Amino acid sequence: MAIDTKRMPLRGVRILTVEEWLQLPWATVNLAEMGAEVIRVESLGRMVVRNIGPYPDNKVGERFWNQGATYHNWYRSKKSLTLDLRTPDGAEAFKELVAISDVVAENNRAGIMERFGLTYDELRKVKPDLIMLRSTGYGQTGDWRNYGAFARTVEAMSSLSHMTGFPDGPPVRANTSYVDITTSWNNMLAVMMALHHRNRTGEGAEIDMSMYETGVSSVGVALLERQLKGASPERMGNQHPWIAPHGCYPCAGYDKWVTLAARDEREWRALCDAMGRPELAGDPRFSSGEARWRHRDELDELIETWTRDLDHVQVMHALQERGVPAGAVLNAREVMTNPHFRSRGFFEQNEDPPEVEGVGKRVYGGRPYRFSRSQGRVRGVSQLGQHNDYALRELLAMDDGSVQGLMDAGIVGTVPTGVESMNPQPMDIEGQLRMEAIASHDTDYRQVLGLDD
Amino acid sequence: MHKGFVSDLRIIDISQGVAGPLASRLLADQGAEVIKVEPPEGDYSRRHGPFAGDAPDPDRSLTYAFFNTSKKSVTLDVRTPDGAELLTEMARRSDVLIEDLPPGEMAELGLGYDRLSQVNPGLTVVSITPFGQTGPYSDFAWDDITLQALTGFLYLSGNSDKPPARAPLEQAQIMGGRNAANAIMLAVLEREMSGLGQHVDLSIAESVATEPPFQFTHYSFLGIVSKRTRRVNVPVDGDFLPCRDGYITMASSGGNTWEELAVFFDAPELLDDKFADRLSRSNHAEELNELMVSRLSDRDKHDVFNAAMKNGFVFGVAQTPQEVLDCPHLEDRDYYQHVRHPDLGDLRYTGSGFRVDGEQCIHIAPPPRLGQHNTEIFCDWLGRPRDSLSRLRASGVI
Repeated sequence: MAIDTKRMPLRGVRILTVEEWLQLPWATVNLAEMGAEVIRVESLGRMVVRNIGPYPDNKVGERFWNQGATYHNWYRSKKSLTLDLRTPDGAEAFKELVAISDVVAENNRAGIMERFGLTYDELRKVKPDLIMLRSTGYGQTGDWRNYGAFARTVEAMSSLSHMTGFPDGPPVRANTSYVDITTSWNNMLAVMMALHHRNRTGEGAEIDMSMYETGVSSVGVALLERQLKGASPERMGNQHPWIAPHGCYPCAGYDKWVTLAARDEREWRALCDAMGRPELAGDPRFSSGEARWRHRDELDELIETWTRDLDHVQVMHALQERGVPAGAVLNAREVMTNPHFRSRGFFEQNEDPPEVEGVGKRVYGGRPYRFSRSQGRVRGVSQLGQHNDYALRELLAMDDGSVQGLMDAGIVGTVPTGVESMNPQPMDIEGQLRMEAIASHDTDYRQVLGLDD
Repeated sequence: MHKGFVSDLRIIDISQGVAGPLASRLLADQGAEVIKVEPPEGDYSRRHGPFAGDAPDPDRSLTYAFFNTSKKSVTLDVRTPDGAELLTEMARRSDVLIEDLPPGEMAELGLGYDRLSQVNPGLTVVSITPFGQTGPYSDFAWDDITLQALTGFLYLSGNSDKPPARAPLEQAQIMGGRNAANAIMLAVLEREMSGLGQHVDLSIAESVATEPPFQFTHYSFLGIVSKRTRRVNVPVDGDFLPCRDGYITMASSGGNTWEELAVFFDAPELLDDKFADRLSRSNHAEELNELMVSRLSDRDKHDVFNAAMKNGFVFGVAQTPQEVLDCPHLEDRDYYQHVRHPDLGDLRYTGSGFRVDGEQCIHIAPPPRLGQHNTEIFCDWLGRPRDSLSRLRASGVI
């Protein structure tokens, strides 16, 4: 498929990234899909995300490290260069690439890049206006700088978990990796603002990003409330601190729900009308916003009685026709087949070229912005080391002997070290269903998504 | 600290609530000049809680106070011809205009992108709406929870033994605002090459839909519909376990071995075969849960956290907002920004999430009172005579 990078807003920007997991990789996916050339520097000896599935159509191929769904999503649209940065030759090649790049990004634990001799001060010697993004759980300074982090542990630290969930239960996570993703967006923002500043002033910058601090900035209103009122929101499920009704109600079918809110008299009367209970609008328990909030549990029961046997999407439309905010709780299949998202071209296909053992044609979520002149696009998914030649021969003009030397030393390659001891497995779908770890398994997903068209 | 990465940018923001105001705030944090154009009755968030004190007061809304720091406020009814003309005049002299009116309304007011770009070809107009400018849901009524619902986010939020649990504090709009700020920077960087602005259609729903990191690929690769985590499957991998004073969460895969975990908790029972791997732990989840609770229930959560983290485990405490305010590490990092608010007093605001060249990097001044900068903007900047303000005020334009 032809991709017109000339229309991408970040064309001409080159980013080297030494990254793992999600909070930086998702930032560089988005930067790459808006035009930056992102070269991911990987070590043959450290397959982390490449080594986790699930695999296409649940089949593990010979070159499984190029086939995982997680890898395809988090590392798509980037180039792949293998370099063992622990070796002097690997670090030297990295520095030569830094000299012709705009940005170095990394999310290793604090101290790792120092161990490789690849600090900001050292890299600035070869690229004086370099922008270096260092993104970790707790930042590069302070007592906690070496603490490890996953999105869920940092989300807990930020106090978001304390405020999410039901009053009679424990804290819960807001989705699976919320702070990873918000940090990825903050990573992107910081890099782009630093690029703008550099273009204007010629000055680079070292950016020390903290997931914890980004997570806390998402609950800033609660911290102001705590300071001023001595109280802050507690877990209240899907109810709202001052709006009622406001909730998530069960519908017909397995794990089907609809959300709605009625925030003023007009929305409240329209809701009563949709429920076929116009008399409730005159019920003194619900005569004002404040009264409804006080009787919110009774209200939730009444609404639940109405929704319980209805289709979640039909309830949504019945309410929307009357101007009441409502949204069916959609699962992945329902979002991917939803007429609204489809009509906007939100989903994009990517097809691995036939000559590699890839994953064929798959569908990915796109980006949330459309530009009148510019364009973004999923730009393919790299095989391990696919761009070794490009980076070493084309960009650095290394001769055959030097490249061969790096390959012989295991610094560069296309097959992971110790591949024989890796043991990738297809997903035990039956077991996952039995354990209720997944909602369902559709066997017709290829037709549903048009993968065979 | 330098003046800020984007101190050369001027942004006109007519949006209200959370998403648009957050986008312009993120740029104001890094030095951009943001002129907030409010309708004469004020941004609707001024009428929303929580309020400092219990009575609603437009200068004491904490939602407004958080999302509008460092901005200038003018009042202007852009739905009047005079208002539209003044806004056009501002847009002519600015880099970015942020708007969140229903799709099509800007054009009806004579403020469509085609017209504004004639006045200022370098202008970027960012339209922030719940569902985007096009598509069958573009006129849907919405609330933060309905945006979380329609995007797959809510389905995966919480535990499977309960209904989905929404993320509080308007997180869908926060996701939209963060992406809108990124869209602005993409357009600004593109303009440095082409010299031209453009129109951006930002969908809050699509911002939220990109959050769950597995949902689309798992379906596209093998037809799996992911669901919320089942509590009993994950006592040591993501669930919250009670300590004496609250909850912790832990990850068994944070670099340390299972054997080290057994030593850390002084729990040789963990070495039993029935806990040998994830599957067997899952099969004996209730028992594992009881064992962990017995080791934790008489300990303080921060003690467990600090001891574990120093030993290389990856744990987290379900901190309360007060504990976040009191956090020694955030203090070490100079995280909180001290702001003297004219109506609310001394406050600590959260930082940007990143430091630049070794310092917290954020420019933060108190949010404006409604219309505080009318004279400065309309008279000093746009050159309207001072006596014209009273005429505009009398006719309800400002």
